[in-house]
Amino acid sequence: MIPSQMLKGVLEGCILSIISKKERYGYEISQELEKYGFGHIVEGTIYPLLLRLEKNDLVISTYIQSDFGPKRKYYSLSEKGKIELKLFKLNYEEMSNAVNSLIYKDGE
Amino acid sequence: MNKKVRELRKQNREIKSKLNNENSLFLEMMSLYLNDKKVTRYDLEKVNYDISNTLYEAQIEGRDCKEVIGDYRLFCDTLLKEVPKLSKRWLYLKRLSWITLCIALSLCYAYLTTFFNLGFINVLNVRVYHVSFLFVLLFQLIIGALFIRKHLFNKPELYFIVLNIPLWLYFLLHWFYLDSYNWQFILFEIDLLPFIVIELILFGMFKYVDDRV
Repeated sequence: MIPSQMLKGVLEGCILSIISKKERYGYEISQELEKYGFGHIVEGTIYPLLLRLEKNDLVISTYIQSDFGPKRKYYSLSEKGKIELKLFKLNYEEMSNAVNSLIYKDGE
Repeated sequence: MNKKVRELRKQNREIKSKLNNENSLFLEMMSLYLNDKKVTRYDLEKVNYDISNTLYEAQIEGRDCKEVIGDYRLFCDTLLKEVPKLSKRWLYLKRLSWITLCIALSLCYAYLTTFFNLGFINVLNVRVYHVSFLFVLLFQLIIGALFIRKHLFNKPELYFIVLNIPLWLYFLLHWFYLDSYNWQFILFEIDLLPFIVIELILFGMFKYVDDRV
């Protein structure tokens, strides 16, 4: 399992990436993350992040009635969110290159 | 309370009635915790709405609250960083607005009973109120104490002293020149009606703004 401190910085970007492919709701996002090997991340962790993304106008949410009663809050990427995602990809690439070259190529 | 909040609250009650004991207890604890931290009413209900829907769906799928939310304290604390809160100043204003209403209503009672000469229920007999030095001093002390206790201003002592200086000067002048040393002497006379109207308008204005927070 990835330590939460390490996850903190990238989780937001990962969520943006997940909802950029398709409109998703909280539980789906949690399942997607698990599918990609992030381990079990509960909705209680994701929801505050989504609130922040929504507050910063990076995602747009709509309530859609599910088949069996409760309403689901679906999130999709806004224009600003698309730019943010591009930025995240660039930043992450830079960081992962730096970390990789430090711990694998250098000195071994 | 405005319409949007009332509507949300109604929907939340509806969903909550469908939740099992554990989930509704969680929701209650969350509401209490957020309310305690002075989250704005609308945001509190909105979060409540999202979470109760999430919990309801999880309940149908047979997942329990801990599996969905994780650690309740941690969840609430992260949530608190993301939702807007009422400012301290606003909360004191709110408290003051209720005091204003109480004063206005009691003055109203005194005014009307005097106006219509309803002797048997008229206790105060004050259409024109004689504002005595003692009254102003007591009023100042109460207001001053409220503010000092609640740290409304950065330097409450200063506020208290500055506001009191003219009063003391006036009092001393009276004492020396008019030779009327008396705690009960009358500073000025005011008609109560404009006072009542102003207080009620102030309260109404505050309520109007408060509904939009």
